[in-house]
Amino acid sequence: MKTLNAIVIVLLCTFILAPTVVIALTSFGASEILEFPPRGWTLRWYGYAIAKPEFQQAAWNSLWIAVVTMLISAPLAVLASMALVRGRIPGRELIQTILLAPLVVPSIVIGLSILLASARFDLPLVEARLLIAHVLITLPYLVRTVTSSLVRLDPVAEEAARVLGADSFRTFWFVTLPALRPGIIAGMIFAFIISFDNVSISLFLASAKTNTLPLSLMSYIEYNLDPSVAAVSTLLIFMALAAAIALERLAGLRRTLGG
Amino acid sequence: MTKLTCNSLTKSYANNRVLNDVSADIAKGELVTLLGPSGCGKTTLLRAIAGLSMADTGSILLDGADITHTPIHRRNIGMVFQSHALFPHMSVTDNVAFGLRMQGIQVDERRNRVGDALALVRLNGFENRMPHELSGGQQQRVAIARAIAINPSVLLLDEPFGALDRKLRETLQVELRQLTKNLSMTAIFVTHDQEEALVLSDRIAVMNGGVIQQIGSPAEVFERPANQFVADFMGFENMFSATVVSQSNGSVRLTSRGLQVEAINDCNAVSGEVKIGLRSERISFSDGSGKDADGVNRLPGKVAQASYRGDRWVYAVDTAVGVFSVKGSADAEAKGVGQPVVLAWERAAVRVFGS
Amino acid sequence: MPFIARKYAVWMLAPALLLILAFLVTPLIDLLRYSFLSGDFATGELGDITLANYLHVLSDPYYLGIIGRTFLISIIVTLVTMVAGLPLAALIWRVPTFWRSPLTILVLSPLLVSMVASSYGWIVILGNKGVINNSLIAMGIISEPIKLLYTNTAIVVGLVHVVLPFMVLSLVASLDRIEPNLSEAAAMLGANRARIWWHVLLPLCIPGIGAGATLTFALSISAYVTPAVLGPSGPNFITTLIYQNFVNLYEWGVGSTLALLLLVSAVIVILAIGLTTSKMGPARRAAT
Repeated sequence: MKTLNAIVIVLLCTFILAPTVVIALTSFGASEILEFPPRGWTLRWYGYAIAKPEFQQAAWNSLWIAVVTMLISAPLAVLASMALVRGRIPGRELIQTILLAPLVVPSIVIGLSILLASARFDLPLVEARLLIAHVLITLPYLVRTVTSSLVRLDPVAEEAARVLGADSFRTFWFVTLPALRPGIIAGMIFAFIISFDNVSISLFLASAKTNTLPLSLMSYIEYNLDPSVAAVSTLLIFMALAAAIALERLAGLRRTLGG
Repeated sequence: MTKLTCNSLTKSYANNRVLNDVSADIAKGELVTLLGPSGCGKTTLLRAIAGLSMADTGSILLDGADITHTPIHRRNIGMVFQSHALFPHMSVTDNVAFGLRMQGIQVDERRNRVGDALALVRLNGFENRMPHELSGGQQQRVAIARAIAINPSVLLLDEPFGALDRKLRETLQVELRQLTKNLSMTAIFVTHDQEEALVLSDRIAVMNGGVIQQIGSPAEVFERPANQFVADFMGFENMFSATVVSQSNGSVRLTSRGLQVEAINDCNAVSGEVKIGLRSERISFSDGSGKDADGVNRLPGKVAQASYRGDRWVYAVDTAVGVFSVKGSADAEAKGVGQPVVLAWERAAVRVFGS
Repeated sequence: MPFIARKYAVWMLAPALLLILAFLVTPLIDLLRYSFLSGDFATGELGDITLANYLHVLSDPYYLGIIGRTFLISIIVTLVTMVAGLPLAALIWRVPTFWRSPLTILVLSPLLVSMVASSYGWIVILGNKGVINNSLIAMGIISEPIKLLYTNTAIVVGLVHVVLPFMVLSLVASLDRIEPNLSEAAAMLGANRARIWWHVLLPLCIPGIGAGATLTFALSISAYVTPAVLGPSGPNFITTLIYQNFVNLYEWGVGSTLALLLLVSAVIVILAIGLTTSKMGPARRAAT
């Protein structure tokens, strides 16, 4: 029975890792097509991919959008969480539902909504739309992480600070915030990854000029299946791995994802 | 007849010896308590018997059969946990019947045996309740019923009453004792509460540092602790150093800073520097008559503190040997602070320990 | 408990709430409106309020086929994920602390790796000249490649890969909430490992399984990339249809109708499972 269990686990782990490993290995392949196992080993596809202007432009876009997204999402989420957990407001359940709503709404519907809203509010800038979209989808995750950290926090420390004469703001800045920091940073890393990797929403909102890396990969593949795709994908995989390790160190992956 | 035997059980966690070559024999129908402070190894020993953890070396025999490597679910040992561990999604009946189901017993007989078990813990009528609907005491009763329903060879209890309030605890202690006596069930009980141990046990095993320091009847352990640790744990408030002067059949003479002590010689081969222990209840205030003449087991001093505790007085008395704690009856004339007194005690009250 | 006065709290919530209300909630009203309109959205010449879109979508076999396929595949994905998620969750749950971290990272990796990378990995694996076919042919089990890619099966494989982490997370959380003494008590009452799972652990996990299943199903029906990239040509899922109608065909009326259908389905599923979980009573909830 135990061996059966072990076999099942190994199969499942193989399943989980399969596409990632295959793509990573393929990226080193010498032949002109996506092939596994790769014949011959080379790094030239990495050079080839990095040199491509469309990938460079898209990578840069993805990068700055992801950074700005997390820098906007984080403070918004922290403020909202503080108000939710520590504030005396009616309708707390409703507000929480609204804040977590983007999780429930299908990505494509979110993309649509933003498209329509941008038309309504007259926001022609593609970058702005993308940013808003990414902030919207990362916000719930950050709210969840920060809220769960906040709820776990013993208010005793803050009460002590108040008694010693600190006002609300200083208590928050010197006592609460440092305690929340690992959770916030973890949430930000997660937001970065979600934003960078996102396809379904960006698909709606990006333009030829303002493209993101995953999207430019997808369109490249329409007419070209060479290993440079694998190379770029592998770079994305390593980015994800780095993020995962950082997240696990900081706050525990399971807690970040709302386990 | 021995029901359960532990032979030289050892267990270490990291570099910590939690069980250090522990051996014990437990007779059928006995209730033995493992008593000691946190970390003494009592729970580890219990869990080793249960099979919940494996000792590194040594063996465990149940009814003569070696169960050291038997898997948990085949040992037929009943266990009651401190947290009751009732299955929250099952009714009282289903909880109590669980072990019977595992044994393949059919519905009708199950129902009867559940009824019997619940009757023993006086919870008939609670069959369809869910665990979260019960009070703490009721939950533990169900836990006990569940453990005994399977007719276990041994019943293990891991501080089962620790989370309950005092009155409830005392009630359940008495009930448990009656229960195991009526069923002639062998039981091992773990606690850090000295009083609980005294109430329940046929024998008490005092543990510390992974070693059984002393195993004996409650009276033995309480009045004649084998070593300093046991004495201290069992509440010997007054301990002081002394030197052995002479030994003869039946008595030992010792001195400590001018005090002459005579004790019954039932501790093997004490000599040189030793420790003497006296319980505060066994010390009285001499009225100047009787044995005062030779000054043995008499100690003059001055009352330093007097506390009224409702049912008794507790005095702290300054003497040449140190500060003594003495209990006085509430009826007797109270001593005042600064009053000179002479402390007196019987030979039998003196306990001598090697240093 | 340090409280924040209402006036401050309101200001603190405002930015996040306003963002969501403006860009998510309000447009839904627009979507609702469009779903009742028909005409030429490109030029803006629209007709009157009509149910034409709804009737069209709900009666045309083409649309119904795709809607049905979306739900059916998603149900299969959810079931497969439940079965696959349980052994993994059990492993993470009972493995010594040292191994929890790396295992968790492994199981959660699909979440952090871009969908594009994952999907292309599957293309390489499932293709006619892909890993699986090549291996099977090399081992002599088959002589012709099996069509695995660009099928519904490929969609299932791809989606399970993406949603598995969510299910495992839910399950591990559920398992963690179970009091450890319960397994021990069951063992002492004569239950072997299998019976401990069946009688004690699984029943107590049901809320976690429910939560996981909800999330899995909702994510599955909303998926865009995986069904588009791995499935047969032509729209496979409602999401592709929505995209086509809005971007290619400029049929905003139909597109809106489909979008709303998708949204409502997701919400209903989530509410339904949420309700069932709370209906299971305080006993289960007390345990978890």
